[in-house]
Amino acid sequence: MARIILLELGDEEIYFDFGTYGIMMFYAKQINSQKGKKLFDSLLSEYSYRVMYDLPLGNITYHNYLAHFVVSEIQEVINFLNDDVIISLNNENLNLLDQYGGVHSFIDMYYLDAGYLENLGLTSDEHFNGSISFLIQQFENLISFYEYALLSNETYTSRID
Amino acid sequence: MIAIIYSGTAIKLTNDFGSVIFDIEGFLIEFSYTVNQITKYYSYTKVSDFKKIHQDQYGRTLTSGFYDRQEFIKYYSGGENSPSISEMIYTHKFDIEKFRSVSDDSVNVNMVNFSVPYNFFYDRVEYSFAISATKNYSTLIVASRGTSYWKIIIPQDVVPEITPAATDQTNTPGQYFYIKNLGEFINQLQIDDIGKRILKKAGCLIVFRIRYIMRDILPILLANADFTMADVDALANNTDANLIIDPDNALKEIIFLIKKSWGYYYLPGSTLPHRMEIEPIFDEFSTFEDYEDYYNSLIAFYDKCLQHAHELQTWYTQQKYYYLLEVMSVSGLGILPLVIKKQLIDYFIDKDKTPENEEQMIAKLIASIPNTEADEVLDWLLECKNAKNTRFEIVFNRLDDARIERYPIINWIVDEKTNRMTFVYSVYRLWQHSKYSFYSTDGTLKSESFFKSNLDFYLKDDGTFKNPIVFEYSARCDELEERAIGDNWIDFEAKANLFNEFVVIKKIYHEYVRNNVGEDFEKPQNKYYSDGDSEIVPTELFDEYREWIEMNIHLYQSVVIYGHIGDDRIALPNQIAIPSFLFYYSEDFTRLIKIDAALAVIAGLAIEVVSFFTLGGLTQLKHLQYLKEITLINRAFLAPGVAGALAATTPVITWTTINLVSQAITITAGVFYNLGQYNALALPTEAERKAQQDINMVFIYILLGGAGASLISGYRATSLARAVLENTPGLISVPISIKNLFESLTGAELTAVSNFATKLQNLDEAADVIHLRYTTEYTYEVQVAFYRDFSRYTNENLQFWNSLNKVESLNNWKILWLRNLPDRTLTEFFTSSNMTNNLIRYYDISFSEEVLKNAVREGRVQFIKYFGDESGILFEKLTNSGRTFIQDFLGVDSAKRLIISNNRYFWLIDDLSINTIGELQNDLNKAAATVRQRGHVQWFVNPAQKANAERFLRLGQNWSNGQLVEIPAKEYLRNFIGSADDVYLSVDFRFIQSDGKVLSSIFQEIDGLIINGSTNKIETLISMKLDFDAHRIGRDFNKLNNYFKGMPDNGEDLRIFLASKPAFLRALTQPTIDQIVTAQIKYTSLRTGIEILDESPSAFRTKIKEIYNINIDGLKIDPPVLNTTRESLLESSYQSLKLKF
Repeated sequence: MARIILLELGDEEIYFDFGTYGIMMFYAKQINSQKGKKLFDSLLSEYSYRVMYDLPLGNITYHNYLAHFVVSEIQEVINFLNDDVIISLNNENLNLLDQYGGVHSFIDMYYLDAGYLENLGLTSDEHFNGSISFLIQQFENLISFYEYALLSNETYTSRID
Repeated sequence: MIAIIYSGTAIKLTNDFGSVIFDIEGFLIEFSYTVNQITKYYSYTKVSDFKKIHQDQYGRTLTSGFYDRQEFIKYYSGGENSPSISEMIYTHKFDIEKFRSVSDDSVNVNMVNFSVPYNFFYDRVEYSFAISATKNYSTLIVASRGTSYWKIIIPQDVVPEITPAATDQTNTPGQYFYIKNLGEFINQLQIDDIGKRILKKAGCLIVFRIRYIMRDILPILLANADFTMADVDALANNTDANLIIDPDNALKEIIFLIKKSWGYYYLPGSTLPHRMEIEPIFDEFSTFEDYEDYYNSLIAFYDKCLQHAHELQTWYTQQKYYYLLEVMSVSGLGILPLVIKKQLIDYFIDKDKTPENEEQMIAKLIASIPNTEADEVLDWLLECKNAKNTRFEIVFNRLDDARIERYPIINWIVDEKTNRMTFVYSVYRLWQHSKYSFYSTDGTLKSESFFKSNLDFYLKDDGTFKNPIVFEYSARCDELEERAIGDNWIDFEAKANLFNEFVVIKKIYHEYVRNNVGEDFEKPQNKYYSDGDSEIVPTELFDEYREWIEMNIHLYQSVVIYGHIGDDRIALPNQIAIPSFLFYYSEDFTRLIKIDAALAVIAGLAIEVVSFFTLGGLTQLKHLQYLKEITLINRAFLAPGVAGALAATTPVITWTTINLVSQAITITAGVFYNLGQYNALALPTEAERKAQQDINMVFIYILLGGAGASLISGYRATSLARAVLENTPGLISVPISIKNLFESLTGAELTAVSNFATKLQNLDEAADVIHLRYTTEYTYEVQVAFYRDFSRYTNENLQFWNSLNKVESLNNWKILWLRNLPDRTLTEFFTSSNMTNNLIRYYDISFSEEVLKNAVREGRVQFIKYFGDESGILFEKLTNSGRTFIQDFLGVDSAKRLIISNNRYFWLIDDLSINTIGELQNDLNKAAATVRQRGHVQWFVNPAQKANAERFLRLGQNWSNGQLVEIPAKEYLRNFIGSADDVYLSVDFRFIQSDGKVLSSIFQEIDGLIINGSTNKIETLISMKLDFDAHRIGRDFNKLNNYFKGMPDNGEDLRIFLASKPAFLRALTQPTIDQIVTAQIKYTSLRTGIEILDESPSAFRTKIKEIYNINIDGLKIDPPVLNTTRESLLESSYQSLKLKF
C-alpha cells in the first residue's frame, strides 16, 4: 500500500508521495551527497533520525513526530535547493523516471549505493512522479514550508502515513 | 399524578403531560408532553431498541429513556431527513429526571392481573400507596431459563384491588384468541401456579403485541397497495374454505390469514368457513418456549416492518410482498400461517432454477416453522412432489453449501450457516420434536413413537437387525482400529444418495487392490504397495477395488455414531442418537458439531451402567435406551411365566464378528434374565460391585456390537470380560451363564494372541526385536494390546515392520500405550521420541488433552509436528483453557495450518484471525523481498543482529507497516457494523486529464467510512493507525467536508476548485490542473472486496451528511482497540519474517 510523507506545522502542511519523495532524495544525493543528507535528515522525525543512526533515544518515543529540525542546517538546505538542485533540474529535459529507466530500474539504481538513503524502503508499490516541472514545484513548495517554519521558529512534524 | 418509571424513580406528571400509557407491570412507558402549544409523544426506548451499530458505538452516551416517538421511527426507518443518532441523544430525548417526585405523594399502580382465574382473558389489579422520594421502586425479577422482567416494588401490607380491564374484552378478537390458544386448557395443565401465571402473561403479551401490529404495521403494509383492508376483510365471507393464492403475489392473502389466525374473523355460530372457528396455534402440548417463540416472532415482525417502513409504504404490492419475504428474519416469518409457507416452498421448488435469494427464502421459511408443526411438516417433506423425488430430496439438492465459495471475501459469511445447513438443521430441530424421535425433548424415552410402532424399519422378521444402526466413526475417520481383521473390515460411506424416504448408506465390506497381472492383495495402510517380499512399487501399478453393501435407512430413523473419541476403553457412544438424514448430510464430525454442539457431549461411565438394562440409564446412557426398545431385551428380563416373557433359549442378540476372529455369538434371553437377577443383588464387597459394573458394560458393548458397531465394541467387550474373569474376588456372585459367555469371548482372544507370535517369527529380521519382546517381556495384557494394534498389518508390509522393529519405536509405543493414546500406532509418533514426548506434554494438560483427543488424527499429527516443541508463553497460550487456538488450528485445512504455524506470534500473541494472517502475507512477503534485496537477511536470521531487524521494522520508512493495523481492522469492522452496512476503505480522488491520462496518487485519502445500509449515508469516519497517538480525526473530517463535499465533477468548475485549494495546488501544480477534465472518487468496499474507481463526486456527495460530530462520529482503530500493541505487532512481524529466510 502506498505511503506519503507528511510535514505539518500548525495549519500548514505539505506532503509527497513516497515514490516521488524517493526520486527527490535520490536526485539531491547525486548532486551533493553531504548536503543531500542534510535535506534527508530534515525530513525525518527526531525519533526516526535517532533510530536510523543508532543514537541514544533519551526520552523520545515513537509517539513524538517532531522533525529533526536544526535551524542552521535548514538554512543550508534551502540554499542547496535554490542554488543547486532546482537549477540543475531546470537543465533537465526528460522526465527523471524515464531517464532512470522506469520504476523498477530506478529502485535498482537507488539501492546500488544507497548510503543514508538505505532506510527509505522504497518498493514499486508507491506512487512516483518524475515530471521535471512537478519536481521543481515540489522543491519550491518545500522551500516555502521551511521558510514558514523558520519564520514561526517552530519545529514541524514529520510522519509517514 | 404520580407514575413510576423503569429506573425505579417516581415521577410527578404535571398538567403538561397527557396520553399516558403504562405497561402491563404498571410502569409508565408512553406519554405526550405539551410545551408552547406543541405536543410531542414520547415512548420508553431501550438501548437495545437502537440500531446495533449505535449501541456499540455510543455505549456510554446512549441510554434507555423516553424518546420522541415520531423521531425514533424516522431514525429507525431511515430515508430523507431522518435524525442522526446524535440528534436522537441530544435533541429528542425527554429529560424525565426534572420531574422526579420530591414529596410524599400517593401513587396508584395499575397492572394487568395475571393471577387466577387463568382461563379468563385478563382484568387488572391496583395498588395505592404513599411514595417516599428517596426510595427506588423497581426490581429486576429473573425467572428460570434466564428470562427477566422489571417489576414495581409494592410495599408490604398494601391491599390489592381487582378492577375490570379498561375496555370490555368480551367478544374481542383478543379474547377469542386467548381462550382458544390457552384459556381452554390452561387449568388442565399439570403445572404449578407460577408456571400458569407465566403462561397467562405470555398469552396476554401475544394478544397485546398483535394489537400493536394491527395499529402500527398493517397501515404501513396497506399504504399504496392495490387493495384495501375492506378487500382483505371481504375474503372472510367466502363460502369456499379454500383460498386461491398466487405465491408470486400473496400479500392480501397473507394479511387475511394472519388476521384470521388472530381471531379477527371469528364469529361464534357462523357457518362461513373462515368465520366458524379459529385454528389454534397452540394446544395443551405446547410449551412455554412455543409461546415465547411466537411472541418473539411478533416482535421481530413488528420491528422489521417498522425498520423498513419507508420502503414498505412507498412500494407497490408485489414489491412489498417480495421485500417483506426477503427482509423478514426467520423469527419474523414465524407468524406466517403454515399453509402459506408450504405453498411458497412448493412454488419455489417447482421452478427450474433457484437463484441465491430464493434459496435463502426457502431455507428461512423452513427454519421459521415452529416445533408445534413438526409432525405435519416432516410428513409433508416425505411426500413425493413429482413422480420420484420427495420434497426433502428436492429441497436438499436445490440448496447448496457452495454459497461461501462464490463470494470474494470468504470470511464475511464464513461463520454463517449455509442454506443447506440451515435446512438440515431446521429439519433436525423439527425431528427432535416429532413423532419420529424416540425421545421427548427432555431426553426421556416416549411411550409412543413412530418407529416403535413400526419396528420393521429396524428389524427383520427373525428379530435380528435389518441394517447396522450403530455406525463406527473410527472405521472411517482415521481413529483407532480403522482396518479390521482379514477381509471383513467395515467402512461406511455416509455420503451416498437419497431414495424415496430412505437414505442409502453404503457399507464397504471388502476393499483390496489388484496388480497389473490380475493378482489381488489386501489394501495396505500407506501409499506404497509391496509386491511380494521386499520390493516397494508405486501406487500406479495397482487398481483399488471396493465392494459394497447398500442399506436403505429411513430418513427419520435414529442411528448412533460411535467411536469418534480415541481409545478410552470405557467410553460409550459419544453422540446421542441422530436421524439418518443428519448422518447423510454430515461428511465429517466437525460438520455434525456445527449443526448441534450438543452432539459433542462426551458420555462418561457412570454408576447407572448397572441399572441400564433393568431400569434404563437416566443421564449419559439415555440415548441408548431406544436400542432396548427395538430389540427383545426388555422382554428378556421378564420372569418366566410373566406375560410377554421369552423362552430362555430365544436369541436376543446375534453378533457375527465378535472379536479378533470371525465367530458368531448369540446371546439368549436366559443370559439376559440371569443378568437381571444378578443386577438385583446388593453386593457386599467393592470388588464384586466393580465386577457387576464391568459385566454390564460388556453387555452394553455387545448391544452396540449387535447393532452394528462390531470393531471397537468387540475389543472393549473382550478386554473387559477378561478383566472380570481375572479378578477372582469379583466373581463370587456372577451367574454361570455369564461366566460361560465371557470365557468364550476371551478364549477366542487367547488363541489369536498366541498365533500372532508365530506371525512375528515368520517375519524374521523385519520383526526380530519385536518378536523377542512379545514373547519374553510382554505380559498377556501388553501382548493383547500389541496384537490389537498391529495384527492388521500383513507380512508384505515390510516397510512398516522395519520402522517398528526398533528399541526406540517399541519404547515409544509402550509409553503411549500406557497413556492410552491411540496415536501409538502411527509411525510419526512411535518412530520419534521427540514427537512422542511432545504429544504427552500436551496430553498432560487436561484442556489440550480434551481437544486433541477429539481431533481427527491427521490434524493432531500436524499440530504436534508444528507446535510440539513450543514452550513458554506460546505453550501457555495454546493450552489455556479459555482459548480455542488448538480447535481453530484443527478446524482449517493444511495450507492454513502452515500459515498459522509460520505466523504463530501474530496468531497467539496478537490474536489475529487465520484469515487476517493470510491477508497479511502479501505485505510480509514484500518486506521479505526488500530485506533480501538489500542483503539484510542476517539481521533476521542471526539472533545477535535482532536489533538491526527491529530498527528496520520500527521505521515507518522501511516498509508499509500501517498494514499491520489496516488489515486486522477489516475483521474488526465486519463485526462492528450492521448487517446491511458497508465500509469504504482507502477513499481518495483520481483525476483524469484531457489526454485520458489518470492521475492516481495519494491526494486526500481517508482510511475508512462506514456507510449506513438503509440510508446510504456516511455515518462514521474511521482512522486506522499503528500508533494510537497518530490519529487526526479532525483533519480527516476536514477532508470530508472541504474536499469530498465540494469537489465538482468536471470542467472549469473543477479546475477552479482545485486551484483554489493549496493542498491540491501543491500536490498537482497548476500546469497539471490545467489539463484535468474529470474528478472521480475511488474506494474499496469492505463487503464485496471490489475496488470502485470512478464514482462521481456528485454521487458521492449525496452520502455525506450535513453535520458530523467529531467526538462521536469518528472511530479510531489502533492496536489497543484490536486488543494488542504496536510493539507486539512489530515483534510478531519479526518472528514471521524470520521464518521466511
